Amino acid sequence: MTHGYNGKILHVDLTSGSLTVEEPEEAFYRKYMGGSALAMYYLLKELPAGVEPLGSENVLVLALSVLTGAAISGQSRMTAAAKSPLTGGIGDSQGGGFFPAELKFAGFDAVVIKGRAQKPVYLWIHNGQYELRDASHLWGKITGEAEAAIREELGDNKIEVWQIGPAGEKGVRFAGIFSMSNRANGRTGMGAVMGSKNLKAIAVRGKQRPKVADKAGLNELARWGAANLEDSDIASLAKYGTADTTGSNQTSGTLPTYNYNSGVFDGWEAIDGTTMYETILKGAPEGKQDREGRDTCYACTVRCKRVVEINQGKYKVDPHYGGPEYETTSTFGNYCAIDDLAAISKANEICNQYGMDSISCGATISWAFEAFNEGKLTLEDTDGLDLSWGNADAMVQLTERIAKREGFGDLLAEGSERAAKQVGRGTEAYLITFKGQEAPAHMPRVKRSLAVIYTTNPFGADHQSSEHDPAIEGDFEFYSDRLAVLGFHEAQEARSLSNEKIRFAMASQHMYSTMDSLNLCQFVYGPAWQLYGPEQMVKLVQVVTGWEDVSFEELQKVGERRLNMMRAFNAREGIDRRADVIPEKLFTPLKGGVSDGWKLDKTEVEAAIDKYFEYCGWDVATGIPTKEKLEELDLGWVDLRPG
Amino acid sequence: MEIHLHLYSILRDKLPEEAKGKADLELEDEATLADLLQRLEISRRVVVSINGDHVSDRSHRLQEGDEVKLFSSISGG
Repeated sequence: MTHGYNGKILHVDLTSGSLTVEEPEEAFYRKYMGGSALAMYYLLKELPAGVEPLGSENVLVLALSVLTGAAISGQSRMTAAAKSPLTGGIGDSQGGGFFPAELKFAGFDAVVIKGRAQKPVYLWIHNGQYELRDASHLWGKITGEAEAAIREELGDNKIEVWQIGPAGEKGVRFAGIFSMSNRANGRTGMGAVMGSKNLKAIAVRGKQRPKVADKAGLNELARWGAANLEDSDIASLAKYGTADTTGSNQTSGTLPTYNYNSGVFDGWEAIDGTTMYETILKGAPEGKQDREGRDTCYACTVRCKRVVEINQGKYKVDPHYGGPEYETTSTFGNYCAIDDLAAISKANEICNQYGMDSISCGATISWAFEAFNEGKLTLEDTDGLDLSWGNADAMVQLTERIAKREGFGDLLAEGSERAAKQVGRGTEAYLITFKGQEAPAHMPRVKRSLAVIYTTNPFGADHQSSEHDPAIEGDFEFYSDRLAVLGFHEAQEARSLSNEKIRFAMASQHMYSTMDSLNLCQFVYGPAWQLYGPEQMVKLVQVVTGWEDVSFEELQKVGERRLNMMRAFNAREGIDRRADVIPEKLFTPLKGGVSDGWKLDKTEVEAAIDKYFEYCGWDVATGIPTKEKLEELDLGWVDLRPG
Repeated sequence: MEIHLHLYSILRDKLPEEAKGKADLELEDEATLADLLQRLEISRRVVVSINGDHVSDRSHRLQEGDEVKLFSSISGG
């Protein structure tokens, strides 16, 4: 008898309309656990090399893990993976909410989607049953409207809907896939892939909760989390959201401003988590924001999600679309030197309504701002929008045009790298893209291990792929017990790229990769400041699955396996170390404040990457996993030659 | 000596609500950052700004008129 998971994968062929169920063995689940690793298995098996990301041959995988749906904080998350239309390599994104648990209770662990429907459809999965339904009447609707229409048509307002918005339908290269109209599988353009398949949505409903192996053990872990939340290092995050980090990032000089040209922003306090909590969270005027202005995911007691409501002024915001996280207040805020929180919230609302990754959208806009301020784009180029630094109104208008692919927005919908290539005029110098994906608001010139991670990560720049430097630098004493489990016993110097720092980057990357395969929330579980540490993560797997001999080492291997599968996927596409390139801007000094003058050194970073590849067991010249490494990870079946 | 304190987000709970995280504090003349944190009963990890500088060393001596900002946020990941 299996525990925690259904043992069922739904295969959907949109071209033929056929739906079949596969029932893999327990050993399969033990090897891959779910999420990103399980998705990589299907992509390597079913996706030939060289396909067009927006063509019918691409395969989109939606995957849960063996843990999804267990009654504990931080497990209701899911992976969307396919070949990325933004990077041309592997695409991968995580998202949360209530949909993941509901899909588990609807009877399936993953959905593998091939082909393309002749006209728009949506997939309806409920209590083990499944069917494709016409979605022609839903195509073109923004997320909130489509969600309501589906619930009404199927007669149940508790149905969870995961969908693309009009941006995904129109192939905006950084379109995402959204549940609850505000929880995003945001990055790498998975929404554009879903749109290219004419698949509008997946709707789920179910009551078939898989049994866990040790209910008492799970309850004990859950109770521990709830009891320790207030004293934990995520207590502030819970109440004030991720924008709580704005002030501390300003302090340490890693608050990206002027499109990553500076690490400090004078207007930071107007757009931080404390200001958001006090002014625009739903219920704030009556002092009820703690109740009404915060939301959560299935079974999670942390309640870190923002709910913003603005009823007056120029930028009205509907609370149905949630509220901005730190990345969003950054890319629409400090990246563009904008300190108008209402305008930022409006841009967030547009992203959630139309279905776009706020990081790539905001950072593409900030590229345009820099090009304009440097005189390389004119009012004629920008539909007459004045992109002077700080112009909030122009930013909001541009966000909407990108979502609708209108005017100048149509060019920006291609992402900043393709836009810069088309515009030329030296605007490529302003890019902050890694493999074509825009950098998030944690800066490699300050947190040096991110220079290695952003550059070598198979799906481009990503800030949720490793533990950041402070944990092993100045904060080490607080987290030494947990870091010892990963094999680290000594604090490292600030801004160093020592061998130990690189080894830490890799080991923490494996743990984060494991968490993406277990579909665990990286605020709730992790190697340092998170609510639960590495040993508790192991315990969670044991009590849910009944695999009592699972160890931390085994779980690290799952993460390493997933990472190697991704490097192998890219290698088949001809994407290797030659694509592990740092944008030139990062070799120029930051301007102003704490981080004034800080820059990366090319020789130092290349040497760090050499060392990283050596630790990973990859060929140093190409960055491709060796045959020996693949065998070690039971990936001998992976074929590195183009399909 | 007197320092000007500004506490953000969850650290505001250390002061009365109406203070909105701001307070002028009287400290011993040779007081250090560690002394201040102990006085405020803050044992969790914090990020400290003193007159706009990022200060990590808890033995740092505070001065008359220092603007001290304390944040307790996650470091990212």
